[in-house]
Amino acid sequence: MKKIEFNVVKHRTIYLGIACVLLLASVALLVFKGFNLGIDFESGVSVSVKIDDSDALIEDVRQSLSQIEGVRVQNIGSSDDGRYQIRVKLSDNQTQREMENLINTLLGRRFSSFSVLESSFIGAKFSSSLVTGSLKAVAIALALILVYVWIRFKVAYAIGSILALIHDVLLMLGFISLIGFEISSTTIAAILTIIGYSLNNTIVIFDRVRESIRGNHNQELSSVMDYGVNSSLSRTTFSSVTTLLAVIPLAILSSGDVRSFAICMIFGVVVGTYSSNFLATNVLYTLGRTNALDILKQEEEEDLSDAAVAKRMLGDDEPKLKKVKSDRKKGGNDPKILV
Amino acid sequence: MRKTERILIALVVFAICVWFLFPTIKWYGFVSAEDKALTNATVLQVKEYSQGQAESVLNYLKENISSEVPKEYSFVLTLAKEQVKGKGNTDVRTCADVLSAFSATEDDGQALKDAVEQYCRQHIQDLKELSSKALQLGLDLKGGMSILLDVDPSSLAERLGREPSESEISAAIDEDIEILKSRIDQFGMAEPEIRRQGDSQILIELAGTPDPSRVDAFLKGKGLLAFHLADTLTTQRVIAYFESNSEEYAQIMDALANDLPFTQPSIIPQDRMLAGVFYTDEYGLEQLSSVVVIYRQAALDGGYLLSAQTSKDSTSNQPTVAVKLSDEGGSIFYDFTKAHIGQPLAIVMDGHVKSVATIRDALSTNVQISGFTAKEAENLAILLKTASLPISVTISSQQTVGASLGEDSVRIGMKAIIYGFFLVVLFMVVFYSWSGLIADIALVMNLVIMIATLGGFGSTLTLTGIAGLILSVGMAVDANVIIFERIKDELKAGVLPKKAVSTGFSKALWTILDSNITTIIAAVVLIFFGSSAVRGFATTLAIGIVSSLFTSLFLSHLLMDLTVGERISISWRRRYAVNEEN
Repeated sequence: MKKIEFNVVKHRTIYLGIACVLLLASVALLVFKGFNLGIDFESGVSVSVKIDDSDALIEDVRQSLSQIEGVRVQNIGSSDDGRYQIRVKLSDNQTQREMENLINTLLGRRFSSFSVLESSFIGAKFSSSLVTGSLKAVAIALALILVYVWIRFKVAYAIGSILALIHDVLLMLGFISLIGFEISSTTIAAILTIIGYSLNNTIVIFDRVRESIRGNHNQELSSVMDYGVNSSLSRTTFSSVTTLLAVIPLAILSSGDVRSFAICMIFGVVVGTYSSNFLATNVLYTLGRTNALDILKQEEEEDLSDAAVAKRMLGDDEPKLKKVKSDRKKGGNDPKILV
Repeated sequence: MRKTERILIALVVFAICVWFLFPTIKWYGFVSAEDKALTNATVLQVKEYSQGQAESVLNYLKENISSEVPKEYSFVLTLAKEQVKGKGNTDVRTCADVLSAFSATEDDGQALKDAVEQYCRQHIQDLKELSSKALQLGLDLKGGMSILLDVDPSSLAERLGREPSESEISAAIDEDIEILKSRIDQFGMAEPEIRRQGDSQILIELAGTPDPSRVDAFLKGKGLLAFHLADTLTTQRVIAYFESNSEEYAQIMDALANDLPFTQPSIIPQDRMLAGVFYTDEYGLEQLSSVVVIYRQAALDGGYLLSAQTSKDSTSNQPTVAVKLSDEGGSIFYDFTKAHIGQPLAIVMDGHVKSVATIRDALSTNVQISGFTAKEAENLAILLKTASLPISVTISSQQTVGASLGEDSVRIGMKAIIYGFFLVVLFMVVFYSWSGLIADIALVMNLVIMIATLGGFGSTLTLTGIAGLILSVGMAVDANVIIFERIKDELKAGVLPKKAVSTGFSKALWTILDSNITTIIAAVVLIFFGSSAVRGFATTLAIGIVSSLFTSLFLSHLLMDLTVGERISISWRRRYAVNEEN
């Protein structure tokens, strides 16, 4: 069986190019199409109903409610399900109850049989606190992760993993905008899951890349990094496939919120795997190559890994390592790490 | 660590998990749907159910004297045996035996009915306890109403006349929660769940399909409590009047008992009205006991109330309720009581007269209300406390999920999750052979630990919680995959199986720790700063990461050590099955 290998770094223009194009497309979608903001983010009343009349069309529902100003009606699930979501903003002197009663009465006049599945009311304060709360939480989490990766690895690794995360979040938001899903607690949960998933992936790959750099000082950085990525490739594939195996049945069988969650997850797993393998590593390579930031561990002396031990046994010492660094500073396109 | 110690630790963890998992298994596996529904019943429904059950048991026994007690009523046998214990004949089998045990053949069977009723009440109580220990589904999955309230600190500032400190606001919110709890209890809502969220929010969750008008009632309960002067003379005249007008009496009593409007008897002056005196029975339901005439104008309303607690009168040792009023309320009350010494004062809640006490002295901010049993005093203290919220609230969001939507999504969602789980389990065995089976055992154990922990902490499983569960399972699989790949690398390099396992685990250790610690950082931040939906996700994820670290780094390692000898089976490709020079 032929082993599949990616020239991740060698072909970085292609991989970075794909990421950039997708990022631009997402940003364009966010700017021009925007979001279908869920009820969680807008103050107002949202009522989900199931209409049992088999010949009822969405136009009929809209028409029956036409006397309510600014009412919005959407299909939930497949269009022959007869399930609709009705959303309307409240004016100052209206209560939730009054609006629900009005919707009930109006639907009752037009349709012989319907049932209310779900109804929610969101105050103005709640929606703003949900947005700011989520943003604040994500920002703090990213900052702490940055610090941890910085301590455990190096700052270049931290930057690489955070950029990969930002890429994932932006692409997910773009996808959500494209598909027309709502931004709600559910989709936020999917984005959070992907942040966790992709981060996990990136760290595992970085671990291999670092080990590969440590163990192969006399080779080109690009091929050393490629080796690191490829040595963890079977693990990356296994993990992505198992996650997809868990999520795909959910996307096929379920409906409503669970389904949108699962669909977002499938997209996110693909995007997250891509960013961990191709984006984070190339950011790391770029930072290491231009010597903007050191991607080797400073405390090489205390390093007790097999590679370091072997290196010491071969008579490696301080001056040579320094020489390597100065060599790299003079800059070549692909610095060789000499031992 | 020696192998025996490791095995012992694994067994202890397993035993603890099974202990916490037990209620969940019992609840979902062995409790019938009718019994589950009973735990959601309001106090009134519990009462009706218990009494109905008692009635039907008695009727059945009387009609089928000679036959054996059927299975559905088998509990009465235990009750009857309890009854005849120590009285010689302990052989209770037929309906007649049961009836005679309670001497129900001679009288109307009240003793039997009481015993059955008592048993039913206890049965429901036990079920409620079990359900609280089992892992319950969140409202978004099983249906119900959740209400998020914003507290308004300016209302507290207004009452205190100054800016309240942070701890005062916090204490007031806690008091609000207590008051809302007892109000909901009084309104007979099923299984309320009230907790504080963040610094200035209160979250109320009600299972089932609560009546919206009742929800409004307990949220807007402010100012329902009041002190009214009672009119003894007119009350006596009304009672005398009713004796000669029994039809009107029946109508009015019926209206009072059901809170319906009625026409006041003509003999009552315009400024006074007839009100019902209610007491609280053993189910916590209000029962009409008599009537009293009170003045329409309240002497003082509950807005001035600061606190209420039970105590004992130092001289008479009678239970009393000590009520503390605000300064403004105290001066109003002082003037009023001073002018009406010797007259009866009615304590009115939500239009129901709860008690009538005689004013003995002029009262100011500290009011002692006496003349009750200890239980009544306690009830009254709760009642007075539930009168008004120290810090007023506004509805921030209110969400109702229909039970049908919830049920449907749960059924399909569970099916999908089970399919997904089996696919993953199968996948692991196919690609990692016997070692894959070890990973699967670790995976199942991971799930057991997670559900046991969630159930043990009394959390509920929400939609976002399931998302966290899926991610955790994914991470647990991933940890095992990382380890196996490392072991395979070692095997490829020609290391012997036993050595390959130990090197593989030690090499994978920091990779797994790093990737899990970064994720747990994110989870903990989200637990502290996220909204409630996000928090459900983060909690499950945090628990899942800890348990997956345990299962992959400890349990899998132990199982590998126990099973790997000269040979190792870690791939579908034969060549790793035995060690081979590379």
